[in-house]
Amino acid sequence: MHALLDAVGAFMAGGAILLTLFSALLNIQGHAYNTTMQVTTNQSAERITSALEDYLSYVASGSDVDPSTAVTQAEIRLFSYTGKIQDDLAVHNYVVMQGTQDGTTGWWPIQIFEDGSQIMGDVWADQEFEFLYYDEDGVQIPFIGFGQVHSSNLPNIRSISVNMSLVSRGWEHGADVTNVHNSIVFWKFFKNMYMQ
Amino acid sequence: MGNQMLLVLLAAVLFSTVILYTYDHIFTQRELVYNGMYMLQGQKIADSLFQRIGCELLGATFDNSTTFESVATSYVTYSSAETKVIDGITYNIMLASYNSSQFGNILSPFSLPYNYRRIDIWIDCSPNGTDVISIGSAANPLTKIYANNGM
Repeated sequence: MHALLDAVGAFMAGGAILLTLFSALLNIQGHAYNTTMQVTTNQSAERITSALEDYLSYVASGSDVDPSTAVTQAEIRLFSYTGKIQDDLAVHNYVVMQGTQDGTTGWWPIQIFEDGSQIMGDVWADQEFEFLYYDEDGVQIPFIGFGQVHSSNLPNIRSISVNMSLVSRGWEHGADVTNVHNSIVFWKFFKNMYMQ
Repeated sequence: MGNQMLLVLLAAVLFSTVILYTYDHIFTQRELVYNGMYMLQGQKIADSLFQRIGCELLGATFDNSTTFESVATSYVTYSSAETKVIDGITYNIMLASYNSSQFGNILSPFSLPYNYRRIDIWIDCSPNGTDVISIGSAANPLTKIYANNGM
Protein backbone atom coordinates (compact mmCIF):
# COMPACT_ATOMS: atom_id res chain seq x y z
CA MET A 1 0.00 0.00 0.00
CA HIS A 2 2.85 2.34 0.88
CA ALA A 3 4.58 1.54 -2.39
CA LEU A 4 1.40 2.39 -4.32
CA LEU A 5 1.05 5.70 -2.48
CA ASP A 6 4.69 6.47 -3.23
CA ALA A 7 4.13 5.71 -6.91
CA VAL A 8 1.02 7.91 -7.09
CA GLY A 9 2.82 10.73 -5.27
CA ALA A 10 5.84 10.47 -7.56
CA PHE A 11 3.56 10.42 -10.64
CA MET A 12 1.80 13.60 -9.52
CA ALA A 13 4.99 15.43 -8.58
CA GLY A 14 6.74 14.35 -11.78
CA GLY A 15 3.70 15.24 -13.88
CA ALA A 16 3.51 18.72 -12.37
CA ILE A 17 7.19 19.32 -13.05
CA LEU A 18 6.91 18.06 -16.63
CA LEU A 19 3.84 20.23 -17.29
CA THR A 20 5.66 23.30 -15.98
CA LEU A 21 8.68 22.41 -18.08
CA PHE A 22 6.71 21.96 -21.31
CA SER A 23 4.75 25.15 -20.70
CA ALA A 24 7.99 27.07 -20.11
CA LEU A 25 9.55 25.59 -23.26
CA LEU A 26 6.49 26.57 -25.30
CA ASN A 27 6.70 30.11 -23.95
CA ILE A 28 10.40 30.29 -24.79
CA GLN A 29 9.69 29.05 -28.29
CA GLY A 30 7.03 31.76 -28.71
CA HIS A 31 9.32 34.52 -27.46
CA ALA A 32 12.18 33.32 -29.66
CA TYR A 33 9.91 33.21 -32.73
CA ASN A 34 8.60 36.74 -32.05
CA THR A 35 12.15 38.05 -31.54
CA THR A 36 13.14 36.58 -34.92
CA MET A 37 10.05 38.14 -36.53
CA GLN A 38 10.90 41.49 -34.90
CA VAL A 39 14.37 41.34 -36.48
CA THR A 40 12.76 40.66 -39.87
CA THR A 41 10.25 43.50 -39.36
CA ASN A 42 13.05 45.90 -38.36
CA GLN A 43 15.07 44.97 -41.44
CA SER A 44 11.96 45.41 -43.61
CA ALA A 45 11.32 48.83 -42.03
CA GLU A 46 14.84 49.91 -42.91
CA ARG A 47 14.56 48.72 -46.52
CA ILE A 48 11.03 50.02 -47.06
CA THR A 49 11.73 53.49 -45.68
CA SER A 50 14.83 53.68 -47.91
CA ALA A 51 12.82 52.60 -50.95
CA LEU A 52 10.03 55.08 -50.19
CA GLU A 53 12.59 57.86 -49.68
CA ASP A 54 14.11 57.01 -53.07
CA TYR A 55 10.74 57.30 -54.83
CA LEU A 56 9.87 60.48 -52.93
CA SER A 57 13.15 62.04 -54.08
CA TYR A 58 11.68 62.14 -57.62
CA VAL A 59 9.28 64.93 -56.61
CA ALA A 60 9.74 67.70 -59.21
CA SER A 61 12.99 66.13 -60.42
CA GLY A 62 14.05 66.95 -63.97
CA SER A 63 14.68 70.30 -65.63
CA ASP A 64 11.43 70.17 -67.62
CA VAL A 65 9.25 69.63 -64.53
CA ASP A 66 7.75 72.78 -63.07
CA PRO A 67 8.10 72.59 -59.26
CA SER A 68 5.04 74.81 -58.78
CA THR A 69 2.80 72.20 -60.42
CA ALA A 70 4.78 69.02 -59.60
CA VAL A 71 2.61 68.01 -56.64
CA THR A 72 -0.80 67.12 -58.02
CA GLN A 73 -2.52 65.71 -54.93
CA ALA A 74 -1.59 65.72 -51.24
CA GLU A 75 -3.85 63.85 -48.86
CA ILE A 76 -3.43 62.19 -45.50
CA ARG A 77 -3.17 58.75 -47.15
CA LEU A 78 -2.23 59.64 -50.74
CA PHE A 79 0.52 61.66 -52.36
CA SER A 80 0.68 62.20 -56.09
CA TYR A 81 3.46 64.01 -57.96
CA THR A 82 5.42 64.21 -61.19
CA GLY A 83 9.14 63.73 -61.71
CA LYS A 84 11.82 62.25 -63.90
CA ILE A 85 14.23 59.44 -63.27
CA GLN A 86 17.83 59.93 -64.35
CA ASP A 87 18.45 59.11 -68.04
CA ASP A 88 14.72 58.73 -68.64
CA LEU A 89 13.28 61.21 -71.14
CA ALA A 90 9.68 60.86 -69.99
CA VAL A 91 8.11 62.70 -67.07
CA HIS A 92 6.26 60.17 -64.88
CA ASN A 93 3.33 60.48 -62.56
CA TYR A 94 3.85 58.80 -59.18
CA VAL A 95 1.26 57.95 -56.56
CA VAL A 96 2.21 56.80 -53.06
CA MET A 97 -0.93 55.65 -51.31
CA GLN A 98 -2.56 53.46 -48.73
CA GLY A 99 -4.54 50.64 -50.37
CA THR A 100 -7.76 48.93 -49.30
CA GLN A 101 -7.91 47.32 -45.87
CA ASP A 102 -7.59 43.54 -45.91
CA GLY A 103 -10.84 41.94 -44.76
CA THR A 104 -9.17 39.06 -42.91
CA THR A 105 -6.22 40.64 -41.12
CA GLY A 106 -7.57 44.20 -40.90
CA TRP A 107 -4.19 45.47 -42.14
CA TRP A 108 -3.56 48.24 -44.69
CA PRO A 109 -1.06 48.06 -47.57
CA ILE A 110 1.13 50.87 -48.86
CA GLN A 111 1.59 50.95 -52.61
CA ILE A 112 3.50 53.01 -55.17
CA PHE A 113 2.25 53.49 -58.73
CA GLU A 114 4.17 54.83 -61.72
CA ASP A 115 1.91 56.02 -64.54
CA GLY A 116 -0.88 53.81 -63.16
CA SER A 117 1.19 50.62 -62.83
CA GLN A 118 2.03 49.35 -59.36
CA ILE A 119 5.80 49.29 -58.88
CA MET A 120 6.05 48.69 -55.14
CA GLY A 121 3.92 47.04 -52.45
CA ASP A 122 1.95 45.70 -50.87
CA VAL A 123 3.73 46.43 -47.60
CA TRP A 124 1.44 45.88 -44.65
CA ALA A 125 0.72 47.99 -41.57
CA ASP A 126 -1.73 47.39 -38.76
CA GLN A 127 -2.49 51.09 -38.36
CA GLU A 128 -3.44 53.51 -41.08
CA PHE A 129 -0.58 55.36 -42.75
CA GLU A 130 -0.32 59.10 -42.12
CA PHE A 131 1.22 61.58 -44.53
CA LEU A 132 1.78 65.12 -43.20
CA TYR A 133 3.06 68.01 -45.30
CA TYR A 134 5.21 71.00 -44.32
CA ASP A 135 6.07 74.38 -45.83
CA GLU A 136 9.54 75.93 -46.06
CA ASP A 137 9.41 77.09 -42.42
CA GLY A 138 8.68 73.54 -41.26
CA VAL A 139 5.07 74.47 -40.41
CA GLN A 140 2.51 71.74 -41.09
CA ILE A 141 0.15 72.59 -43.94
CA PRO A 142 -3.43 72.09 -42.68
CA PHE A 143 -5.85 69.63 -44.23
CA ILE A 144 -9.31 70.56 -45.43
CA GLY A 145 -12.37 68.30 -45.84
CA PHE A 146 -11.43 64.61 -45.60
CA GLY A 147 -7.70 65.09 -45.08
CA GLN A 148 -6.70 66.96 -48.23
CA VAL A 149 -4.29 69.84 -48.77
CA HIS A 150 -6.06 72.65 -50.62
CA SER A 151 -4.91 72.93 -54.24
CA SER A 152 -3.71 76.51 -53.62
CA ASN A 153 -1.30 75.14 -50.98
CA LEU A 154 0.22 72.36 -53.14
CA PRO A 155 3.07 74.58 -54.47
CA ASN A 156 4.00 75.45 -50.86
CA ILE A 157 4.83 71.84 -49.92
CA ARG A 158 8.53 71.41 -49.19
CA SER A 159 8.62 68.18 -47.19
CA ILE A 160 6.57 65.21 -46.09
CA SER A 161 6.55 63.01 -43.00
CA VAL A 162 5.35 59.44 -43.29
CA ASN A 163 4.12 57.68 -40.17
CA MET A 164 3.69 53.93 -40.44
CA SER A 165 3.40 50.89 -38.21
CA LEU A 166 4.73 47.89 -40.10
CA VAL A 167 3.50 44.54 -38.87
CA SER A 168 4.40 40.84 -39.14
CA ARG A 169 2.36 37.91 -37.98
CA GLY A 170 3.72 36.64 -34.70
CA TRP A 171 3.64 33.34 -32.81
CA GLU A 172 0.33 31.50 -32.98
CA HIS A 173 -0.76 29.63 -29.89
CA GLY A 174 -4.22 28.27 -30.46
CA ALA A 175 -6.42 31.22 -31.36
CA ASP A 176 -3.99 33.71 -29.81
CA VAL A 177 -1.65 35.60 -32.11
CA THR A 178 0.76 38.26 -30.89
CA ASN A 179 1.79 40.31 -33.90
CA VAL A 180 5.08 42.20 -33.95
CA HIS A 181 5.27 45.86 -34.99
CA ASN A 182 7.76 48.50 -36.00
CA SER A 183 6.33 52.01 -35.74
CA ILE A 184 8.51 54.46 -37.60
CA VAL A 185 8.33 58.05 -38.83
CA PHE A 186 10.57 59.36 -41.57
CA TRP A 187 10.83 62.69 -43.36
CA LYS A 188 11.66 63.57 -46.93
CA PHE A 189 12.61 67.09 -47.95
CA PHE A 190 12.07 67.89 -51.62
CA LYS A 191 15.25 69.57 -52.88
CA ASN A 192 13.72 70.48 -56.21
CA MET A 193 10.80 72.23 -54.53
CA TYR A 194 13.25 74.38 -52.54
CA MET A 195 14.86 75.55 -55.77
CA GLN A 196 11.71 77.06 -57.33
CA MET B 1 12.34 7.94 0.41
CA GLY B 2 14.30 10.91 1.72
CA ASN B 3 17.00 10.48 -0.92
CA GLN B 4 14.45 10.14 -3.71
CA MET B 5 12.71 13.36 -2.68
CA LEU B 6 16.05 15.14 -2.57
CA LEU B 7 16.81 13.96 -6.11
CA VAL B 8 13.43 15.19 -7.36
CA LEU B 9 14.02 18.58 -5.74
CA LEU B 10 17.52 18.72 -7.23
CA ALA B 11 16.11 17.96 -10.68
CA ALA B 12 13.49 20.68 -10.28
CA VAL B 13 16.13 23.22 -9.24
CA LEU B 14 18.38 22.20 -12.14
CA PHE B 15 15.61 22.53 -14.73
CA SER B 16 14.47 25.84 -13.25
CA THR B 17 18.00 27.21 -13.54
CA VAL B 18 18.26 26.15 -17.19
CA ILE B 19 14.88 27.68 -17.99
CA LEU B 20 15.62 30.93 -16.16
CA TYR B 21 18.95 31.17 -17.95
CA THR B 22 17.26 30.61 -21.32
CA TYR B 23 14.58 33.20 -20.54
CA ASP B 24 17.24 35.71 -19.55
CA HIS B 25 19.05 35.18 -22.87
CA ILE B 26 15.85 35.51 -24.88
CA PHE B 27 14.93 38.77 -23.13
CA THR B 28 18.45 40.15 -23.62
CA GLN B 29 18.20 39.39 -27.34
CA ARG B 30 14.76 40.93 -27.47
CA GLU B 31 16.03 44.12 -25.85
CA LEU B 32 18.86 44.33 -28.39
CA VAL B 33 16.36 43.94 -31.22
CA TYR B 34 14.10 46.67 -29.80
CA ASN B 35 17.11 48.95 -29.30
CA GLY B 36 17.82 48.55 -33.03
CA MET B 37 14.31 49.82 -33.73
CA TYR B 38 14.81 52.95 -31.61
CA MET B 39 18.24 53.54 -33.13
CA LEU B 40 16.78 53.43 -36.64
CA GLN B 41 14.16 55.99 -35.59
CA GLY B 42 16.88 58.22 -34.11
CA GLN B 43 18.85 57.94 -37.32
CA LYS B 44 15.76 59.02 -39.31
CA ILE B 45 15.37 62.07 -37.06
CA ALA B 46 19.03 63.04 -37.58
CA ASP B 47 18.66 62.46 -41.33
CA SER B 48 15.62 64.76 -41.44
CA LEU B 49 17.70 67.57 -39.87
CA PHE B 50 20.57 66.99 -42.29
CA GLN B 51 18.11 67.04 -45.20
CA ARG B 52 16.47 70.22 -43.91
CA ILE B 53 19.78 72.04 -43.52
CA GLY B 54 20.90 70.91 -46.99
CA CYS B 55 17.65 72.03 -48.60
CA GLU B 56 17.60 75.37 -46.81
CA LEU B 57 21.16 76.05 -47.90
CA LEU B 58 20.17 75.16 -51.45
CA GLY B 59 17.07 77.32 -51.43
CA ALA B 60 18.46 80.04 -49.11
CA THR B 61 15.27 79.96 -47.07
CA PHE B 62 16.53 80.62 -43.57
CA ASP B 63 14.07 82.37 -41.35
CA ASN B 64 16.42 85.11 -40.18
CA SER B 65 19.21 85.27 -42.68
CA THR B 66 20.31 83.86 -45.98
CA THR B 67 24.02 83.76 -45.30
CA PHE B 68 25.99 80.54 -45.07
CA GLU B 69 27.32 81.26 -41.58
CA SER B 70 23.74 81.54 -40.34
CA VAL B 71 23.71 77.72 -40.29
CA ALA B 72 25.47 78.21 -36.97
CA THR B 73 23.17 80.85 -35.57
CA SER B 74 19.97 79.33 -36.93
CA TYR B 75 20.61 75.82 -35.80
CA VAL B 76 22.78 76.10 -32.73
CA THR B 77 19.70 77.21 -30.81
CA TYR B 78 18.20 73.88 -31.81
CA SER B 79 20.70 72.26 -29.49
CA SER B 80 19.77 70.56 -26.23
CA ALA B 81 16.24 71.90 -26.03
CA GLU B 82 14.68 70.08 -28.96
CA THR B 83 12.75 66.87 -28.50
CA LYS B 84 10.58 64.73 -30.70
CA VAL B 85 7.99 62.33 -29.34
CA ILE B 86 7.39 59.35 -31.60
CA ASP B 87 5.18 56.45 -30.61
CA GLY B 88 5.32 57.59 -26.98
CA ILE B 89 9.15 57.69 -26.87
CA THR B 90 10.89 61.03 -26.34
CA TYR B 91 14.01 61.56 -28.44
CA ASN B 92 16.35 64.30 -27.17
CA ILE B 93 18.19 65.93 -30.05
CA MET B 94 21.53 67.64 -29.60
CA LEU B 95 23.08 69.63 -32.42
CA ALA B 96 26.35 71.49 -32.75
CA SER B 97 27.51 73.60 -35.67
CA TYR B 98 31.13 74.53 -36.38
CA ASN B 99 33.12 76.55 -38.86
CA SER B 100 35.28 73.80 -40.39
CA SER B 101 37.62 72.72 -43.14
CA GLN B 102 36.45 70.49 -45.99
CA PHE B 103 37.70 67.53 -43.95
CA GLY B 104 35.58 68.46 -40.94
CA ASN B 105 38.41 69.85 -38.83
CA ILE B 106 36.98 72.52 -36.55
CA LEU B 107 38.28 76.05 -37.23
CA SER B 108 38.00 79.21 -35.18
CA PRO B 109 34.55 80.83 -35.46
CA PHE B 110 36.41 83.99 -36.59
CA SER B 111 38.48 82.25 -39.26
CA LEU B 112 37.34 83.70 -42.60
CA PRO B 113 36.12 82.84 -45.19
CA TYR B 114 33.30 80.56 -44.11
CA ASN B 115 33.67 77.92 -46.81
CA TYR B 116 32.55 74.81 -44.93
CA ARG B 117 30.37 74.12 -41.95
CA ARG B 118 30.27 70.95 -39.93
CA ILE B 119 27.05 69.85 -38.27
CA ASP B 120 27.16 67.27 -35.47
CA ILE B 121 24.00 65.58 -34.26
CA TRP B 122 23.55 63.10 -31.46
CA ILE B 123 20.32 61.81 -30.01
CA ASP B 124 19.29 59.85 -26.98
CA CYS B 125 16.10 58.26 -25.75
CA SER B 126 14.97 56.19 -22.81
CA PRO B 127 12.16 53.87 -23.88
CA ASN B 128 11.80 52.10 -20.53
CA GLY B 129 12.47 55.20 -18.43
CA THR B 130 15.80 54.02 -17.04
CA ASP B 131 18.25 52.73 -19.66
CA VAL B 132 19.43 55.36 -22.14
CA ILE B 133 19.92 54.48 -25.81
CA SER B 134 22.43 56.76 -27.54
CA ILE B 135 22.38 57.37 -31.27
CA GLY B 136 25.79 58.96 -31.58
CA SER B 137 27.42 60.93 -28.79
CA ALA B 138 29.16 64.28 -28.29
CA ALA B 139 32.49 62.53 -28.89
CA ASN B 140 31.25 60.38 -31.79
CA PRO B 141 28.33 62.21 -33.38
CA LEU B 142 26.54 61.77 -36.70
CA THR B 143 28.31 64.34 -38.85
CA LYS B 144 27.79 66.07 -42.15
CA ILE B 145 29.91 68.77 -43.78
CA TYR B 146 28.22 71.41 -45.93
CA ALA B 147 30.04 73.47 -48.54
CA ASN B 148 29.26 77.13 -49.12
CA ASN B 149 27.88 77.15 -52.66
CA GLY B 150 27.13 80.84 -52.43
CA MET B 151 23.41 80.29 -52.90
